[in-house]
Amino acid sequence: MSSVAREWREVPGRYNLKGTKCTNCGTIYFPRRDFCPKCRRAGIGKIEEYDICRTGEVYTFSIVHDAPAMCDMIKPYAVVMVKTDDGVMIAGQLVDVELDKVAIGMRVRAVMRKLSTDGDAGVIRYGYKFVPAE
Amino acid sequence: MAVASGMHDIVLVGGAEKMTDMDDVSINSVLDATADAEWEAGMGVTFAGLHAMIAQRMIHDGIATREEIAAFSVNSHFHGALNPNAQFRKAITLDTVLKSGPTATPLGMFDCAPISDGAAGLVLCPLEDAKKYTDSYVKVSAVTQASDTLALFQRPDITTYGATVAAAKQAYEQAGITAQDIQVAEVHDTYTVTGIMALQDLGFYKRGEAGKAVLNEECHFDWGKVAINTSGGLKARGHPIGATGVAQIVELVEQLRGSADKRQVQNAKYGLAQNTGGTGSAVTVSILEAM
Repeated sequence: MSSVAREWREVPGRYNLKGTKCTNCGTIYFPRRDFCPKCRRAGIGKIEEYDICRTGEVYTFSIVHDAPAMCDMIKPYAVVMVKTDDGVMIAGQLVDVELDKVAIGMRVRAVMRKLSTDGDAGVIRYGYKFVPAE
Repeated sequence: MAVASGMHDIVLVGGAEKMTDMDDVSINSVLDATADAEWEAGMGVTFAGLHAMIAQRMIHDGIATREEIAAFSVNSHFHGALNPNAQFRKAITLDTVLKSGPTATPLGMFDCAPISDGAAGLVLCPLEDAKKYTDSYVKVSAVTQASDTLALFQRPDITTYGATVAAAKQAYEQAGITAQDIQVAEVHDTYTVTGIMALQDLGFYKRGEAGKAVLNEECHFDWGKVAINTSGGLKARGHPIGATGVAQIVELVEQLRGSADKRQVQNAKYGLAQNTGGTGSAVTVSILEAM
C-alpha cells in the first residue's frame, strides 16, 4: 500500500487539504498538480500553493456495508463526495453522524482522523474525514 | 492492430480469470485498486461505493429512479437464463434486486457483478483471408479506446463517462455508422448503474430515458430495439475480469453469425461492445459487422 516517500509526499494534502491553484485560469487542483492541463505552457510558473476550503456540502453519498479490510471494523460507514465552498470536489468518509441522517446538501467540514494501519507493525495513515458542520 | 498492420497473419486472443482463488475481502481490495488508490480507495471509498455515489446522484438529478437502475439486473438475468454458458441461468424479478442485501447504498448485491471464473477466446485474421478458414466469420469494423481521470471526483460530471462518449464517437466514425444502426450491444454492467450510463453515453438513449426503457423490457433480444447484454452481461454471464472483454466479443460473434439460439436477435447486422476499466477511466468500444 504505502512507501514512506509517497506517504511523506502526500501528507500536506491529506492532513491539511493543501492543493494548488493555476493563477493563469483560476482552476484549483486537489490533489495538487504542479502543471495546469488547461493552460499547459501558459500555466508554467503560475501554479501557487492553495489551501482548500475545509467546509462544504455533500454532493453525493453512500453507506458502505461491504468493506475492504482497512475499514472492516467500522462498517457500515458513510462515504461522500463533498463540494467544498470554493467548488472543489473531494471524496472521503463522513463520520460522527447517524447514517440515516446523511443526505445530499448536508453541511460538513473536514477534520483529521486515523485512516488505516499498514498491518500490525506498519505506519499509521492519518488524513481528512468529514463531520457534520452544524 | 497487429493483424491490421500486417505484422502478424493470424492472432489468437485469449482472456482468462480465476477469481475464486481469493477470498471476497481480498477481491474487494483488488477491485478498489482500479480506482484512485490514494484519494479514493485509500480514504475507504470502495469501488462499489463510488458506483453507489454515481447512482445516488443520478436518482437525485432525476436521470433514473432506483427501480429503473435495478431493472438493468433483471434484463441481464433474463438473458442469462437463455445462455447455456452464463454463470447465472435464472431469471429474477425487480423485487429480488431491490430487496438484496446492501453492498453500498442504494446498490445491493444484485446490482453488482459476481465473482467469477471463466475464459474466452477469438481468432483474428485479415478479412480477405477469413474465408479460407471458415464460412461464418464477422468483420471488425471499429476498435477504439479513450481515457479519463483515474479519480471519479476530478470529472466535471459523475453521471456520464466521458471516455465512453469519446470512444463511441470515434468508433461510429470508423465504422461509418451511427448508434441507430446497432441491433445488439454488450455493455459493461459491473454495476447496474454503469449499464444505464452506457446506454446513454453510447447514444442509444437520451439522458433520462435509458432507465425507463430498461424497466419497460425494451432491451430484450426480441423487442425490436437495440438488444442489450444478450449474453447475460457481467451480472449474469459472469465477470471474470480478464476474460470479460473477450467474452463480450464472443457473444456479438454468436449474434452476428445467427448462432445465438434461444436469445438470437433477428437480422442483426451491427454489434457493439463497450468495456470499462475503473470508474470509466479507460473505455474501449468495438463494432462488429455481420458478413
